[in-house]
Amino acid sequence: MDHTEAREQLLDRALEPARLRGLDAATDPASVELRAHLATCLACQAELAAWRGTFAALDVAVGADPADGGIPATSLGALAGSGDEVTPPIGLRARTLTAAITHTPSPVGKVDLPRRQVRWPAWLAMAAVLLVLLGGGAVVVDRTGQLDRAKADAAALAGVTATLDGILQDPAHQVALLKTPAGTPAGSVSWSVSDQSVVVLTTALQSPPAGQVYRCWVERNGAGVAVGAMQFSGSTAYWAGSLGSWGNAVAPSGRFWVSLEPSGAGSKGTMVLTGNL
Amino acid sequence: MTDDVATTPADAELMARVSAGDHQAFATLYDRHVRAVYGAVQRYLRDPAATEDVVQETYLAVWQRPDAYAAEKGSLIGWLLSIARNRAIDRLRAASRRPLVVGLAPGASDGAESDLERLMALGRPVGLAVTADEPPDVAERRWVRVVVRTALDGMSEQERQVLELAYDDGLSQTEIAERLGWPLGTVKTRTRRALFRLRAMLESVPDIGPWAASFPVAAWVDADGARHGPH
Repeated sequence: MDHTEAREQLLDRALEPARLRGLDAATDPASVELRAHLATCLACQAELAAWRGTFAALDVAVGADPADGGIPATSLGALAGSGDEVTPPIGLRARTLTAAITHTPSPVGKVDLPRRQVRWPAWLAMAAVLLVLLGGGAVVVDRTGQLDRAKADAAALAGVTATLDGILQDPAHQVALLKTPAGTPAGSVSWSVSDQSVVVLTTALQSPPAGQVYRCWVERNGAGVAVGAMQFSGSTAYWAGSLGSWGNAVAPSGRFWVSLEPSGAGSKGTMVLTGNL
Repeated sequence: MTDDVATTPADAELMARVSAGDHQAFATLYDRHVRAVYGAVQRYLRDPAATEDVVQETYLAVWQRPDAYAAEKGSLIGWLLSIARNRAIDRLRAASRRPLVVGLAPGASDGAESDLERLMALGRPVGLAVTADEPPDVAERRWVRVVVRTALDGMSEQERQVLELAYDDGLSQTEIAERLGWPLGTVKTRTRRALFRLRAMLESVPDIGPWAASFPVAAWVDADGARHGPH
């Protein structure tokens, strides 16, 4: 089954919720083939998860006790017919649009950034030129240094991406989802036993305050062992290495987490991401 | 998503124009999605004044940070609702931290802070109470419910009909076509549109969609009230 066919199969099942719910146990050849494809395709796994999440939300919506004390709906029909029509007031439009028009835009400006590159805004390059003309050579040198660092960050992320591609080429690769303590999905840990590579990726972290790092930990024999610190390229935080450095060259297991803590080794920090390997 | 109900080319193009500072595009974006945004927030907050503020803040956030939206990540309506949801939750938390004025004599006050000075000037005894935060799981279920309700509100009658028959009654697409006397293709099209609309709006729910985790949050508080994250 190819990717396009798998997506069509998933959508067909979504149109009939009972079939979607029964996918894991279904024994018909199409379902068996679809499950085989899902086992190796992260994109289709995500698509299935999105549909299941949608129907889980419907289950919540018709089963939840409303906090406003109204009668719980027991079906979509009852929920749709609950009668509370809500219309935006006249005047909100004018107020909102006026507020936008009078807003002073952010000084950084709107730059189209491709997903895995960092580019300096055009105004920064122009400012650098102007400063040279005005004798601001030292400032231009600093700007150049910043540009070199940005290029190095982008190159490092490109290397991590290549490692991740290698992991995903392994049909037996594994992926564990990372979540915030509140349970929000926020990244992933991917590894390949045959390749012995592991990559941690997230866009849910902001750059750490000065003097602090996001340290990666794995659980080994019931204790946490630090395995490195997250690096940043733009809004993407990552760690890449080998399974051997995790002390388990066969396959990871147990918990993985990321904590924000002081740069000095051995300090107890605040857990910001966690996942079960 | 590839369905044209979710991230339509029109939505992506609209955001590109907003990014370029196009006020007319921003007005079109407002008109296209405000009913869904306002509906969800009003059903969640049950406070028209606060709802207006949240809706305005949501659209201003879009105007100020259009670069935070990535069409390949999810739908525009899901992104808008995730912003609105965060703003609404901030409102609820702020309200729960304000003291609630309680007049100790019957009928002495309606709980407004302005009552405090009046009651004290009259020499009436008052008490202060802090309303409890809604448990996160309850708040989350309530948000899911209002989003589903609002999504149903935005569907056509035919789309609601096929969705109810599929979900509530568990009918297959063929059975729905027979029940309603519609061509099977028509049933599939209407069911698909209803589901993709629903799914797009549910992207604002953390465990379902990508947006709630992606829009920058400076810090977060865990269930025990401890503050975490960058300061």
